Amino acid sequence: MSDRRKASKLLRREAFEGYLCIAPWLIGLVFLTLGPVVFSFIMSLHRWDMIKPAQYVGLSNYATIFTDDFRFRQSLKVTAIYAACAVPLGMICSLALAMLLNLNVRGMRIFRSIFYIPAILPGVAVAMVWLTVFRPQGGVLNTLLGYLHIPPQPWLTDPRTALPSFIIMSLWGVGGGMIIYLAGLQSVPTQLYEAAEIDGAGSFSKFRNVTLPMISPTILFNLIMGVIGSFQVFTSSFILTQGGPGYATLFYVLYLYQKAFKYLQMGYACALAWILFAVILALTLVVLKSSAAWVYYEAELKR
Amino acid sequence: MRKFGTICQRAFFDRNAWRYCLVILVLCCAAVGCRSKSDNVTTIRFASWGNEVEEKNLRALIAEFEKRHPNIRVEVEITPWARMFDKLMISSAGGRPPDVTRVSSEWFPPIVAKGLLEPLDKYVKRDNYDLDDFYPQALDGWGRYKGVLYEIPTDIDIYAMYYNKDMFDKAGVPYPDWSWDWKKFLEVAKKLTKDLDGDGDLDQWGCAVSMWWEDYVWQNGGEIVSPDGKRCLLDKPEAYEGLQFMSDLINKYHVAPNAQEAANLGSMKLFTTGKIGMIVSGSWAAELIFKNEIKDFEYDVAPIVKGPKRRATFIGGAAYAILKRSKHKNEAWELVKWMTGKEYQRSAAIRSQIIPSRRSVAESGAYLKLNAPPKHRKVFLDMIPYGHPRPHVSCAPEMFQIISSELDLVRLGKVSAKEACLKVTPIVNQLLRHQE
Amino acid sequence: MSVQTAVVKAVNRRRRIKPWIVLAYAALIIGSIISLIPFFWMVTSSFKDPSKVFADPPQWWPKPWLWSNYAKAFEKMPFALYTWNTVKITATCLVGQLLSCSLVAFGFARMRFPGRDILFIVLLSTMMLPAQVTMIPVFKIFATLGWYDTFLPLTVPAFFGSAFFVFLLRQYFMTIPHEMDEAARIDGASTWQVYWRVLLPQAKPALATVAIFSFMAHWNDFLGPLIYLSTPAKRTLALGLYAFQGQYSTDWNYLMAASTVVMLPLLILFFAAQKYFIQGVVISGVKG
Repeated sequence: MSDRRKASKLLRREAFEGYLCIAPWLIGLVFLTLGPVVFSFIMSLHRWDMIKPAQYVGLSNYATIFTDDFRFRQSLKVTAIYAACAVPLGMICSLALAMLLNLNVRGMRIFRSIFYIPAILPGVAVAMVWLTVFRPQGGVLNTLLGYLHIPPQPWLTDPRTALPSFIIMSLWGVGGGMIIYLAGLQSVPTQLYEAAEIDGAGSFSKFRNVTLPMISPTILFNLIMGVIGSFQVFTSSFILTQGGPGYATLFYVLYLYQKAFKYLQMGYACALAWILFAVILALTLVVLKSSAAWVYYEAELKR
Repeated sequence: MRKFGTICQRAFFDRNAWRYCLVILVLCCAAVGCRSKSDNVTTIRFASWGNEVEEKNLRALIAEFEKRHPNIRVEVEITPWARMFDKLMISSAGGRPPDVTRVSSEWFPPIVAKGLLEPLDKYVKRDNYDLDDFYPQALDGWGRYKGVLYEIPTDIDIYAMYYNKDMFDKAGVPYPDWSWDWKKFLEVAKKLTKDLDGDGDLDQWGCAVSMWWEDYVWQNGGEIVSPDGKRCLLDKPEAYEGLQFMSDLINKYHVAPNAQEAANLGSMKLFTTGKIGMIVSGSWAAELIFKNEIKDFEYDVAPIVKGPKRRATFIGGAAYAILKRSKHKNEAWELVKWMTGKEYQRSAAIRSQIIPSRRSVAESGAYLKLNAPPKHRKVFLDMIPYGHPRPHVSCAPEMFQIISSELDLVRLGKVSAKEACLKVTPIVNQLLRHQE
Repeated sequence: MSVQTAVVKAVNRRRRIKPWIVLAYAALIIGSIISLIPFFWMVTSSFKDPSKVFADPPQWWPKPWLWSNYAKAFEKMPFALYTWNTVKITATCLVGQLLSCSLVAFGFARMRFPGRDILFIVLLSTMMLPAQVTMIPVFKIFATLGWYDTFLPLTVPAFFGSAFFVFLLRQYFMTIPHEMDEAARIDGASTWQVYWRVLLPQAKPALATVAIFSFMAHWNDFLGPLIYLSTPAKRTLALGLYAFQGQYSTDWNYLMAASTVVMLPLLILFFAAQKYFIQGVVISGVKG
């Protein structure tokens, strides 16, 4: 009897200590995550500038956004186009680079560093550099195109080429994805390639039937992170174009920032944030659902 | 390390230790709370914008103020112009705005409508502060809002047209004067636009389009917003036809550089490097920009040309205001008085060629008799009667951003001014309906 | 990699057709050049005369080298102050995140308490939440506490754990055998001692990863300082560079000099701790 009581006391003590251990996160969860999430939803039903008392307006913020907000539609369009181009292109480029590096070429470490460094630099400084690269007259990009006898492009100064400029810029940061792919490629057991070779598989068939399935979990990871990341582009558009020319580069989070911290329409901005949340959640779920069809989990790879 | 670990471990699971921690925490808070009121020098925070030259002048004038008020210390916070308004809004939402701020007339309505500013009437009455000396255009334009005084204007921002005399001489055309209209302007601009090195690309332009697109609307007899502030009038022909002229200067006649050509330096630098013949700017440009940047030609200033319907240009200016949340309003008022006083204004007029808002200073010759270019600076004072204020609507910053974004496309020649205006009018109307 | 597979690989390599390798090298070298050109342009522009930055035909090599651009940039922008501010914020966050995340991860990996698994799922799902949703209410909370225009809103949240780092560390702790801490417990060690003396020393690689990521996130952070800091003297490097651009937007040579200086600390850190950078990405990517 007393043993059992002792045991239960020990268990209770362990539970208490366990809660103490995760207490920092629990407190943060309540005050910095869950509380604000609820608060954000409540405020999305208000007209609120953080200075005067909030005014309850029901769902009218959402109604305005969906029926009567040209900039919302535009920013969603810009962001979606960007994501649809930058994410696949980035994934292809980073996978290609990773496969090249995985050929065990000499100087692999140097190449790896060169490709990876842009991904770790401060976004503000990177934006400054690209601001000069994209100059229509005398900028380095148009100079290089000139050597190839391609006419100069207006880049950031024209609505047609502004968004593609951002996509080009995003490709500079593929090094992060490349390193993850490289790790994925290196963990593919060589026996599988040997077995494929014995079966008479060519290079492409090996890639198609061995490499791709084996690294599909990595592809899934990069895909999800890429989609989430591209829906949250802010710094580059804030510095390079402020959304212009016209509304050609009005990214969603930039619009949200303007509404919240420039025009102090905090309630409206909260509603925009919730819509962003819904969009990201929906896209992630779609990707995860579809992943059952194309992601290959081998039991022994799972830890 | 081990010892530290044991101590931490004891503290972590000893309930008494938690109590000690709590006591220490409370004591710390109390100590922090008490500390701040020990000395009798009050520090007030002052926010303004300005480039390097302006910042230097401003700091010198404030140092003078501190010398006269040894119990007040002023912390100067300079923000780039493009971010000044954003920062005022964020810091107000964050609950820690500056005590005194310089406000541009363009942001005056929204800032007052948000209730950020302290009404100044009682201070004026208490100190018998002489308001009669100020130009009424300034006081009513960006000092009073619905009859209540919120700001004391310090200067008047009026525009005129600078021109490169050497370029005119070389092309053999007469200098601009009061008789010029759009036709004459265009004719001369065409003569000044050249491809000097013969590589097929233009490298000298007659003019730059005005940074105030409103000018083209007003000069053509149009308005942006109806007098009651409830309806956008850009969909009227006189408005969009005026803006079409702006677009034509770039896209049809090529007498002004387009976005790509101006991308590297901006029109201002193109003018100071002698690549543009005529540019519209304020009186301050001479001292704050041209003095350091124009090296190899002479320039002067002329009136803004007459439009088909009237002569008109943007008028605005800066003012000083006290934030409602300031805890040192009396000290802040002392600073506002100094920054709008005669001595300060005379000094600002001399150092920065800023047009004073006090009639007594403006007419004293401090500005007019300056021995520096431009020679015909009186033009600025003569332009004041043609000054057209921006509409007093509280959604002005958002409204102007929406219109400007659309006009970007007009300047690029992507859409006609009519298309842009018809598109933007309902959006602006919706904004006007929802404003506070 | 076992000896066997190494041998197999070596044999494979000898059998591989040469042209492939040549092509791969060509692709890698061209890719590297493209990747390096923006850097090259930034550094050379920072030494050029302002009129030569966008000269036509382009000047690929500065003539003359104007070291004075850097002196001028330092004169116009207080780098030392901004660096010191950034160091203070980054260091505090680093300590806060290492302590809080490892403790929380330890709780999830080693302690048994009711609701643990559900709470862990909650933790994972908070990673899906875009920061923009909580940004405005959190701003309001810090404003109400009177923390606007202080470093506190940027540093304090680091002490409450970060879902991603907790997850990463917890996964790592799970791979450390239980025998070690059971032995310590039999010797009379308390929970705290097991965490501090047994698990933390073994988790050094994972902690290094968290440290590097935390450093990068806070050193490069822009939106946080942008909305929370107002006084010019409190600017971080990223914010200072942005303000510098606002003030000297057409002085490209100074702007490039300033950008180079802002990038420098990260480049140095990268080459000093390259191993941990790469390994960090690998741990987070493959296991995540």
